[in-house]
Amino acid sequence: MFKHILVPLDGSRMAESAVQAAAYLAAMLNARVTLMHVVEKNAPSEVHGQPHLISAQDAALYLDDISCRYFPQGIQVDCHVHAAEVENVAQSIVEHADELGHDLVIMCSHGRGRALHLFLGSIAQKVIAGDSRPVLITHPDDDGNPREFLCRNILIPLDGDPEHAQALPASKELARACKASLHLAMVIPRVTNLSGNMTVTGRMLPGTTSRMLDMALQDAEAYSAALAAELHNQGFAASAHVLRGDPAKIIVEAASLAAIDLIVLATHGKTGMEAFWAGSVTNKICSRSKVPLLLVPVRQQ
Amino acid sequence: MAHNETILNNLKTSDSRTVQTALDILGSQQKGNRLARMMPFLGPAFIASVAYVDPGNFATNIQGGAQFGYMLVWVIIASNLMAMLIQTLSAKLGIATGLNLAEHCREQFPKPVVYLMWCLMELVAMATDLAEFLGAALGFQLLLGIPLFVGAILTALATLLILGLERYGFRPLEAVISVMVGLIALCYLLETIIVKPDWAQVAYHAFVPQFSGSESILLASGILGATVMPHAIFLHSALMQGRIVVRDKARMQSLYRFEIMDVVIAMGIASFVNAAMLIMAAATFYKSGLTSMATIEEAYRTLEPLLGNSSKWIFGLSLLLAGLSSSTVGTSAGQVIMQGFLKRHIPVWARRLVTMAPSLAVIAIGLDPTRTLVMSQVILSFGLPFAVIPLVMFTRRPDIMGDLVNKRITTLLACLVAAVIVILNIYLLYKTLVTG
Repeated sequence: MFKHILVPLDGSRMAESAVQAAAYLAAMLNARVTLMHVVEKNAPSEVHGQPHLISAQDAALYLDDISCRYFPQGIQVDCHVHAAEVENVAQSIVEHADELGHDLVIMCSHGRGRALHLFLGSIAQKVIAGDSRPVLITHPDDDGNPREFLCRNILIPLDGDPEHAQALPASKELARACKASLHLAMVIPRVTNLSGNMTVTGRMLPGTTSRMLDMALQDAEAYSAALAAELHNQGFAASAHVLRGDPAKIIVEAASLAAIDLIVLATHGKTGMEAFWAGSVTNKICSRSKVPLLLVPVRQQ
Repeated sequence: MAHNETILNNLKTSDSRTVQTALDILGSQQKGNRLARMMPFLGPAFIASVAYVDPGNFATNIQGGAQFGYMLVWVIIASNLMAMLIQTLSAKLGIATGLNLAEHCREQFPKPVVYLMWCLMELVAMATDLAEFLGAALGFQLLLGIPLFVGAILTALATLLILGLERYGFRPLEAVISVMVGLIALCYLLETIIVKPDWAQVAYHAFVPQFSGSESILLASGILGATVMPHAIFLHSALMQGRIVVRDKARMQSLYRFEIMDVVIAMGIASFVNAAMLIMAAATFYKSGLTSMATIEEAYRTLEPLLGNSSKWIFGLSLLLAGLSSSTVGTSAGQVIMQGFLKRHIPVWARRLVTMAPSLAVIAIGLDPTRTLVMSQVILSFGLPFAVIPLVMFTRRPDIMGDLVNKRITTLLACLVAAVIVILNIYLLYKTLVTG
């Protein structure tokens, strides 16, 4: 499935944490890589205090340099500069899908403030909203330097919705290639931290709601245990966990406490205000977690 | 080489175990702070009851008590008993069928009827919103001494803010609001002990139905509309909708039992609070012959026995908070109704803005707030048959309800309730149209 990785770069050192991940995964998956820069209209020369590419010439040199520095011999790396200036970088990245034929996008979240993230969504999130391909989002460390990328323990948050179980095939492929363990996690909220449409239910029928959540807990345990058993049978190292609390918060916490290397999430690709009004869990994880996050778009069945 | 690889593999599996253990520990831990952990046990029913005490209740209770003394206590009790029955039936419909009341209406009734009902329910939603909105705006006015219209603008901003926070899963604010309304409700309950009302009289009027003139029937109808709220009936059928994955009989019945408990406890507390308000209004205004002063702006005097000079502030705050907290319920109900009847939905914030418009208009024109509040509750009472009658029709049918179909006695009682509501409405229509 993952044979061709696209890495959009803007010239900043932060963005290079995506390159780390691409180099690691390309080696493991035996995939080829395309480094790309899209020349932005009225591009700033600096972003987040770091250099930003302005001209196509600079970009070509930069991409060449990156390909030499990060990728060992034996991995096929192509460089692509989209020289015609565009206003919407995210859209341009999505539009390259047919031309390049990649099957995975790896990009770095620039880690802007949570509030801004919430309302605008990052370029990465806009890409996932527009694209039908998985997007891996990496984060630089606190100083803005690229972080080392490993893939030993993969966390897969599930909610019992078969659409969200679409995160499994991609996870399995990565686990097979990287010899990683799969950890399934289901989070059942408590009456006090229900969100979205459930808030009113929890408030007006507290007793019924907590009974219902207990039932959901039993279901979740059965569901995730069955999935884990199936993964075991297929030869994967897998574990199933049912946690309680606010889903987004618990997943973020679990990922950081248990030293998870990668979270894989199936998403409907809602961004910005739309996701805000829907109380999107993905969006919250995306803006709060520093753990690399692979977003797999849900295909309607 | 091979040796190295086994070591590496061992390391890998032990590493994976560590992660597993960490996740397991997380799973077994009691998460959240002390308050968050205690909340599900401390006062969830009390908080739920707050959703049934909105500014519409404030207005009808206070006018009722001020004009007729203890005479209408029985209306509060009867209304609450009716509400308990109707709400549990509605909740049962949702659990048993997985469809809400509006969706059942769409499936069972001809198109024109569906559209008509939808229009009516949207009007009802606006009337509900009017009461909540006006209440909150009055609260701002009492608290800050600003003109009512400015209070209305503040209310509009506040409700949108709360809506946004709620969507984002930020519950603490709402919990704080509910707890504070609950505390004020508690004040009313305490006051009835302090002012020592004539309990014999209260008990007499609690069980002996009595009217005195058409104004008392209008008020009774208002109290009924404020208690058995049509939008809440629709909402209740949607609350548990689609939440249970496996629809086996044991699970449905277990949930239904919990639902009955939730509704009965919450409405029970609400009815005590409502009765206490009416009793306080009777003691403050009716006894001293100040019936003309019984407007919502002066209603803070009912809190004076307990709270003294600060009563104005606290009453204002309670109106404000009751309005804000019930408005989120109203918005959700509106969503359910539109989605159910039309299979269409608009964003919550858009709905909020639309249902706000009439309230802002009413405030801008400058109608008398107390009278408007009471009238809005009368409109609710007019909308009531259109929620109650379909509900009874559906819940008595075994082909719809399956195992949870009404017992004969339940249907009988529900029909009786529906009949009372219809007769009351016909009488009101007759009064307004014929005698003016």
